[in-house]
Amino acid sequence: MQRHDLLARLHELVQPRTYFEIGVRKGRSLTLSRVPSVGVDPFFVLTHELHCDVHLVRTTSDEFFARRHPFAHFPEQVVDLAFIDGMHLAEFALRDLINTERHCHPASVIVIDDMLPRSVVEAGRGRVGSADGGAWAGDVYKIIDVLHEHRPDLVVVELDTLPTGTVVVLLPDPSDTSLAAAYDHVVGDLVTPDPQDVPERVLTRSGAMDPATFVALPIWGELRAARRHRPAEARRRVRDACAASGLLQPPAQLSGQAPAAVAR
Amino acid sequence: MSARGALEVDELTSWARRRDDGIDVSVRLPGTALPPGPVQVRLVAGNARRRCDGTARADGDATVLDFRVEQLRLGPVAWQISVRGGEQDRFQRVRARLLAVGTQPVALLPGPAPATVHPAPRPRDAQTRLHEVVATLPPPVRTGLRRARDVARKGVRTVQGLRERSTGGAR
Repeated sequence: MQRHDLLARLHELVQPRTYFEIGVRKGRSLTLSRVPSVGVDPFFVLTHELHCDVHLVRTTSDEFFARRHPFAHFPEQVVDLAFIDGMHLAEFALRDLINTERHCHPASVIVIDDMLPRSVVEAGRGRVGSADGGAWAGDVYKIIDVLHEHRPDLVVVELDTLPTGTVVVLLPDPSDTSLAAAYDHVVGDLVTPDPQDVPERVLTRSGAMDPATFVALPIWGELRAARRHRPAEARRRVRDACAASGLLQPPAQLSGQAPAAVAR
Repeated sequence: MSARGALEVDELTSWARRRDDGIDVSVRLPGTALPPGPVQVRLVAGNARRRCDGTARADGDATVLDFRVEQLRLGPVAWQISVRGGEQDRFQRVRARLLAVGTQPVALLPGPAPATVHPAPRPRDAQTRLHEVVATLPPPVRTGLRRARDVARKGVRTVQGLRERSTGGAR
């Protein structure tokens, strides 16, 4: 499944009230949105028509989040579905995730692109892969381990999408500041010279789930319903739905076979 | 050096992070040969200016500029970085900006600052409690309320127009 096919399915399943995107570029993913949307990109060059009520912001994502009310465009200043496809460097992607989570709800869905490079060249911080006409994932994959270590409460699902893999983050907690607090300690470890030491698990995608299996999970109705509830109750409901679908298992067990709820 | 004369920055190896009550910044300037030793760093955001001391060191054909900003909060704007070797030298712009807002991770922003021709539009009016209540009503009721609101607005405009006509538009 291509990443844009996954995103299109998530729009259908999540039925977000609001959509947020970092890294608009040509508008190929923003064109999927039909709800109030905010797109951020310092150098967007749209070639796709947009069909939504959108606030398109020409700035860096860090500066966007520094605004007093970055999501003033939304009727309710909450992000239901977010797609992070900005700068392909780990420290930038981690900041984008930290800053996006502050504007989420436990039932929000955050999608991060370029998380599973297929080669060391593709995972380079320098754009060597793209210079050859190939894809450039960068070293964004590093934040998977950061999330597992510092935010075990998040549900982090690696998906085997084309071309460079995707991660979906469920159960965001806007009140949790542990990742922001850890940022200054981990950023030194993230910024390392090429070639990157990419784990075999990432290159082979052994921890990744089939995206078709993921979108078939019976969690989406509960996730939509959870938006009506206060954060604590919404969190409990989404967590229960994830547990029932087998999403709380370690990633290695997820990829091997379809979760129990799907197998039924 | 870039077309506008700013010193290019290597985005792959440059970084900024908080430590204690300050921010440590390391900026690698490829193809730049600043004399190793102490340097002065200037941060500019609009009319605001901050200065701090730093050091330059050679790294192959590049210069690495290390400095520390003692004040943790720099405000919700990106600060343009400039550097000079001594009091007699002119400040040279570095193609990077520093952003440090209390609630989010500190960010070094390499590359040119994105520019728009016009200022940012005024954000949509904030939704009031009344908006939230109305949003829960069935669509036909909302449509009726919207029509009533439009009629009332039209009436107000008509009265205002009559008043302006009677006073010749003077206030």
